[in-house]
Amino acid sequence: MTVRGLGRVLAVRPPRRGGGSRVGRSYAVTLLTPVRPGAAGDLAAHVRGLGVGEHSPLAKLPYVHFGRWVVIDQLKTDWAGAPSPPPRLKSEYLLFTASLTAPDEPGAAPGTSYADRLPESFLHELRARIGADADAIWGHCAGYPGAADPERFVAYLAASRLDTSLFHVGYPGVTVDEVRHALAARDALVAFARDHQGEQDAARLQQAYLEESPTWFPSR
Amino acid sequence: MSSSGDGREAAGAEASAPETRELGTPRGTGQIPEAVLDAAPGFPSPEPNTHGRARAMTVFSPVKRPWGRPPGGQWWLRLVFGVGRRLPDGKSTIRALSFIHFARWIVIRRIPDHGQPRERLGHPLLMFESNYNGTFDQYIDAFATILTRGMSLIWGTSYGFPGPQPVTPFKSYIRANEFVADHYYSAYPTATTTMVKSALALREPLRAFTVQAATLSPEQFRERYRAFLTEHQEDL
Repeated sequence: MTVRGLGRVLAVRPPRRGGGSRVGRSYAVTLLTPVRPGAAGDLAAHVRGLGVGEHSPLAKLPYVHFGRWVVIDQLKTDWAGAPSPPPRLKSEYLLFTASLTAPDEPGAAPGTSYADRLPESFLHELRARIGADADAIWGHCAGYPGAADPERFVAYLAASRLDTSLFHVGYPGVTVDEVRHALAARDALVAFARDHQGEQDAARLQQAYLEESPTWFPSR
Repeated sequence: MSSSGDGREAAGAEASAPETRELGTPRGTGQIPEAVLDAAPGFPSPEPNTHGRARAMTVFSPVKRPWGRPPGGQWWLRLVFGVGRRLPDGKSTIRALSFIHFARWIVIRRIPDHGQPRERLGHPLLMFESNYNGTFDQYIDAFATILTRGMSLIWGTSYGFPGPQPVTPFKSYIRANEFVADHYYSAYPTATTTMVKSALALREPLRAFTVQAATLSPEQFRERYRAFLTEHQEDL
């Protein structure tokens, strides 16, 4: 980018609302919490034993595209060019991240929609939908108040938040449901095309399409 | 970080499809046999950091002090990311990497305090997280080739960054700083980024065609149906 181009970008484009964590209705949630001394092993074993795919606790959160838990025992510094002395953490940490897209709520008053209230709306939902899983996981962390008290739960995780500097969203403004529906419609069309590849009778082809295609779309 | 182009059309960013590609087959290269993934969307992947075709990357690197070489440290990163946040979507080079679902960079200057022994970060930490499809090698190769300048702009202030080229030392650097996810989840694990973008691109034209289909004579329908498949074959 030229200096002139840089100047144009800085002059014309206002900073995105919500800083770098927010792109439209998409939000990058990043939580870093200290693990209680001696609990990291149990925590890692518990997290690794969570159900996979539709059995993951994260599958109960409808707006989450991708999520992860990572237990960080220490910074890695065993490589050429590492600073000296090497940076060390005094505690072990649990990293949680989620990439989510809030639903479009055109009728909502300003400041009241799920998207407008992020990240607190997500933290409240996390407590409501997977509170027991949250207790079993963040219960290994220092200062965790438990999911029984909504305000303290949300305050704890909100205080654990790291602000994103830059967030890349591959397909902005699209919720998980919309992605799934689009994939299902594409798959259905592909299956239809395969099944009727040799159909020479135009009336039968049309009839089959009219019978099958309405099921490819969610009702609006 | 300046470039342009729709990620779906970026040459070289993803293994390209042969012309004889069968309808509905992905252009990305998953590590798990396609038939297995298609039959079992929740299939627990045999290696960590993966769920179906999705793969996680989590990397932390210490940032040099502002008077290091190159100078600027975290202040330089603040400028780079500030510009990145203001770029129109089409101007972001990362859009050319057609296999990234979501990615984030975070400059960590302070560790959240919950009463643990106070951390004093002598060096801010740069965290990079990505959700992508394909293999680690493909990912880093494409990153190093397409995002060469952007990589240097971002990681140039990190200790030990060898530069994106040649790629082998760069891969070693990423591996050495990478943390493996203990639990990883994708809401649509059988889909590559390209499949998602294709399906989304197809969504409204398919809906419009379906509405129109009932108003056509059988011969008109057959003609337009075939034309529709031809027109959208790249998304199938």
